[in-house]
Amino acid sequence: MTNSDTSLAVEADGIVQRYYDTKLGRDKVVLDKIDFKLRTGEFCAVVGPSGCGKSTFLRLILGSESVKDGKLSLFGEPPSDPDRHRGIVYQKYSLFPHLRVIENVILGPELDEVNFLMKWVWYPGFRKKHQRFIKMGEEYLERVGLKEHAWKYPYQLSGGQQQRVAIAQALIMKPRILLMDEPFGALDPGTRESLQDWMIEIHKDTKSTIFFVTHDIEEALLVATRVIVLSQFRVSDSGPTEGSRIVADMRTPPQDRDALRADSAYSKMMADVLAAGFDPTKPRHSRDFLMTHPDAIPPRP
Amino acid sequence: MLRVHAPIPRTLAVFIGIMPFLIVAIVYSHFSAKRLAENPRDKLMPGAKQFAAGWEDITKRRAVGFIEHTVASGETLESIAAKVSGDSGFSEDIKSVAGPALDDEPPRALVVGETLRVPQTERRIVTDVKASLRRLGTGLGIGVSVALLLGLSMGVNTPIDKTFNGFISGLAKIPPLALLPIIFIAMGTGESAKIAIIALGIAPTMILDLYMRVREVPSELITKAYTLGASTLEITFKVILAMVWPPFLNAVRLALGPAWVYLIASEAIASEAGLGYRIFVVQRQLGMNIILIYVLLIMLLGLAMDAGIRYLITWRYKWAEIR
Repeated sequence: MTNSDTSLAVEADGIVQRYYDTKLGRDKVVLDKIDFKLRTGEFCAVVGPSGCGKSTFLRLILGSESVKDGKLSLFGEPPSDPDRHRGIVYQKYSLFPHLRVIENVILGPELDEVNFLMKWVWYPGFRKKHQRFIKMGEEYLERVGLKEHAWKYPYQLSGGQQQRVAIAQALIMKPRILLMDEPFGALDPGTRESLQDWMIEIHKDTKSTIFFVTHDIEEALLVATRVIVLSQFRVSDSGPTEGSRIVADMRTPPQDRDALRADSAYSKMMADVLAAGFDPTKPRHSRDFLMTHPDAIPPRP
Repeated sequence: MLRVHAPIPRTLAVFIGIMPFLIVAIVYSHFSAKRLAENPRDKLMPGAKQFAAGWEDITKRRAVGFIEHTVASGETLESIAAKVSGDSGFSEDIKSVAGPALDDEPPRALVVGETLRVPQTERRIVTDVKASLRRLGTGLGIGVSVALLLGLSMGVNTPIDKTFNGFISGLAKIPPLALLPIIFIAMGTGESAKIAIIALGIAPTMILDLYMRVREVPSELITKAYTLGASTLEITFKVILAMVWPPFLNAVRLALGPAWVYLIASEAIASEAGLGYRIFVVQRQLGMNIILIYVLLIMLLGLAMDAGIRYLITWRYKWAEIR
């Protein structure tokens, strides 16, 4: 594989992640030689049964963990420690509790441009900058419909509002890739739906590259433009296997909630995804993997 | 009302909160009156009269030092006494400063520009409170600063953590009062020894407490701060320190108790003034009336400091309570 293709956000070549398992007394493979390519501007959702390593995959891209084997590149470079080019939205601990909503939103630009030690030396200049950041933060909050909550603390907001602030906080940095780890997992259905619609809009507006981990297949099919299924329930020619691989990689139908309910293509895809990776009693053979997306890499034998 | 955390009316809450104090006061005055009826000179349980005498004793002005005063024009001994010595009623002593050789002669006239050594006076209770609070404040200040510096850097930085963790944990296991003789031998019995015992007594547990708080900051928030372009230094101060600050203040609040213990203990052993010193001095004369006033005063000072920090936390850091 070459790294010359600049339209590639993520390129994984046989990446492996394993952890020491005290029960087994040896390393247990979680991700087993994953091959994956993600184009910029793509909204890629990752689904899979619990324990399949979706969040591990996300952490590898984020850089808070590093691969044990294989090669991972981000925009043509090996992943560094987490930096300002990667945005992250978690399910929990999404905001800084000691900062007001607007301070949370402008934290990134402020950290980026203002050295906090110099802040006291150049206080007048800093004040002017601060005012500019406040204005920018208010614009972002207006976009997420939370302008009137700008000066509250996170604990005074509902879970859905907190997640919207967290997304604004990540987006204000204009990251090259936005990573989301089950961002709507703890929300009630109504709030979750409105946030899903809002994510679709954001992606249409900004064409951001998004890597979206979720356990909700319906959510994945709705919001994303591409869905991959990670699963440990698989067999190969040489017998049983350990660790997950991408067992399905598909383009999703258009991002439209009304169509989702009516369209039979959705229900078929839903069944496909479920069959591909979610049934431990029927592990899938690598020759039957569902690799229909144009960027999908043919499965290793 | 018997259910866990069942709410009760506010007035009732206040009333039953005062009750233990009332009961102690009533029981005390009953037995005190009984003992004093049998023996009016009993010193063990002083009554109102003895307390009044004690109060008069500890609020009487006494000379605590001298100050050089240059006489300006128009000044009299009385005005100098009121201004410099802090007590016009103390002018008798000043008369002796500028005084004539014989008692019944009038004091000699003051010369403008002459320098007098004027005695400085202070109420004894004020002297003691000032001495004790200065020691407590300095000891707490040093202990808290060291704890802040070391606890934070241990929680953030692995090499510093590995260097100091075992040492501080070991230090925290030594009862600070066991160190008292060592410090007195090594540093003498001056002010610095008393300050050192307070600082040394409270710092280890505070360091370990802060260290644990820092380690409890979710790693997700730290990763997130890095993705927002923060440097390690910025994360240390703007994220971690800001987040652990309210619980740290609470740890300071809890350290006030031990700090008072070490203060009183060190003052009891060697001192010239201070609340602990006074209590142990008047103990020799069975001065229960003064001891009890001082004990109540210590309680009030402790309550005031405690309430001050608690108020600061609830008022300034509301987010920390609810999170």
